[in-house]
Amino acid sequence: MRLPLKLALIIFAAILVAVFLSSFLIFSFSPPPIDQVIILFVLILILIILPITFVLWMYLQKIIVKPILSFNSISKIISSGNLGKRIEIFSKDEIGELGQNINTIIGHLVGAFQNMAFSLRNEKNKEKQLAVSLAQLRVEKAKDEALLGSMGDSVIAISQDKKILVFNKAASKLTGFTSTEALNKPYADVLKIINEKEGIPADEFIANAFTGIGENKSKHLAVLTKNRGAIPVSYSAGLIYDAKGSVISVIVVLRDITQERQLERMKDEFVSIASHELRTPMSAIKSLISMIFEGDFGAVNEGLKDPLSDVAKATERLIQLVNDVLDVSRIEAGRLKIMISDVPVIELVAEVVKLMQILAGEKGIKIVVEPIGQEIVRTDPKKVKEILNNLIGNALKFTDKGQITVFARKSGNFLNISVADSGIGIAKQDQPKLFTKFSQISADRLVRPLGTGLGLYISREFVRKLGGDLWLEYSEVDRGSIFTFSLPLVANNMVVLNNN
Amino acid sequence: MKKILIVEDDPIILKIYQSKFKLSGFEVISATNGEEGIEKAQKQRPDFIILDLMMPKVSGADVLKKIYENPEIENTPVGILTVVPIDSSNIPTHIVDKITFYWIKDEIKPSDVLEDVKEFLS
Repeated sequence: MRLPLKLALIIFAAILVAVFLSSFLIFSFSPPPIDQVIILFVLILILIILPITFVLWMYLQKIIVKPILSFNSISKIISSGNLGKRIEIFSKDEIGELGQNINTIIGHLVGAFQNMAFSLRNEKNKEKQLAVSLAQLRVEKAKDEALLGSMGDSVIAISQDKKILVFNKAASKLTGFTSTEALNKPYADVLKIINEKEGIPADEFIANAFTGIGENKSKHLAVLTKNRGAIPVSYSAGLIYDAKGSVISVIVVLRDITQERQLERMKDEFVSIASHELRTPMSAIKSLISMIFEGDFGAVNEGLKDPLSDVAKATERLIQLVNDVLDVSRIEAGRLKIMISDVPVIELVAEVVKLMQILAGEKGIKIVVEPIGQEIVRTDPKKVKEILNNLIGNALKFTDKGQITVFARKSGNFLNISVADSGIGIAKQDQPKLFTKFSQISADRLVRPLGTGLGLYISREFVRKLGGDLWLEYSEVDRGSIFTFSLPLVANNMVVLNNN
Repeated sequence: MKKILIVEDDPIILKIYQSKFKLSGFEVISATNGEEGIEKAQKQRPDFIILDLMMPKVSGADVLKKIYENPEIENTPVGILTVVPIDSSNIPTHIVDKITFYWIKDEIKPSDVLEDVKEFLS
């Protein structure tokens, strides 16, 4: 790269030397006057320097000014943002190297810019995703709030440090505290749960929930409200876990059961009224018919006997239906009362069979009691008679020929009493429905007077209340069925209760 | 002639039992509410009282209490004739023990009641 410059200098020096040498030679032979020499010398000098300066200027123009001008224009283009432009390299000298370096710098700059743009794009995308997630979260939160707000049950979330995290509208309505008054306060300051009967604090189910102790729901609780006194509630507590599975809060759900209580009272009243108002006139009909048949109102016209006996049967069914419904109502309200005494089973069986024998006789069926012995059971004799009545009554209803057998077997501390018949039996698909309320064997198999469909349900509830159970031991279509119930035996070392 | 007091607010039931006992030769007095029942029990000294439980104003349980509180009539035998099972009758246990019969109206016939009373009084 330095070669042209050196060459130029050598040529220039050679010319100078040539000029001096020729001048010297000329002057040494015939020296001119001094002023002419000076003029000549200046002329020569001008003649030599001018072209050299021109050549030099041209040369410098080519190797320095042009690239610098190109640098300038390109740098303007680049600074205006067009990073695709590059400096054109004219030479391999320092200026060319400078241009190359500038190109490299621009290359790096472009890379850096590209990286930056890429990161920026990523950040933007992330921001967008975040905004979407946030919007989704807001929607979910709004949904939760709407759900909690519209719920009729009070929902209260309590944190590990026993402070209230969530307090929905229903909770405000129930307790009288606004959510602002309740949130972040210790729950014991807001939620005053008491035992309904004793009036003492009874909120241990909340603390127990944190430790995972389940609660039996038998207690009647009430919430002591801000200004409405105690309100009876039903309650439950559930846990919320974090991703690691540790408990973060307890959700307490309370329901104001004032209305349910009123309904319960109304139902009780209704049952009581129904009991009295329905059974009294029915008993009047039953009594009058019995008196007519007994001749209390004179001899009965033969033609009237049949319709009158139908009236009597229909009345009996009606009485049975009302009493069954009342029994179900008592069972479901938990008001089934039993009066326990120790009785020999044989007495109960004999008493019921004696009554049922008449009905069986009318159908030409025999009721056979296998020897039972003097086993004594601790039970409610009236209820046991009702159970036997129901089982033997069912057997009679579904048996047209053969016999009904009553037998008892000891089984541990229980006496199993069975009623077997040779009747139509119960199909496999009908068996699971036997003990459900109002269930009856499908009507197409059975064209005969139906009962209430409550008998077996009531009987089983009675037996269970008496400490035993009732089940279908055997049944096959057209061969008959065996129903068995168990009663606790009075052990030898137990005090025998008074029979009354 | 044995005297029987029937305390019953339902006129048909009352009529039924009146005629059943009259036909059997009893002297029948009747009361249609608890108050009247107590009054007639005190004044007329029946040999037997048939008493309904659910009556307006003074209930059968209150009548029973009054009878057993009064030394002059406390030994009068009483048979309860009701549709209310004994376990939900609200009669105090010590009084339940003194009751002679407990009949459920739709489970028995008037002739059963008559037989029970006749047998008891004989």
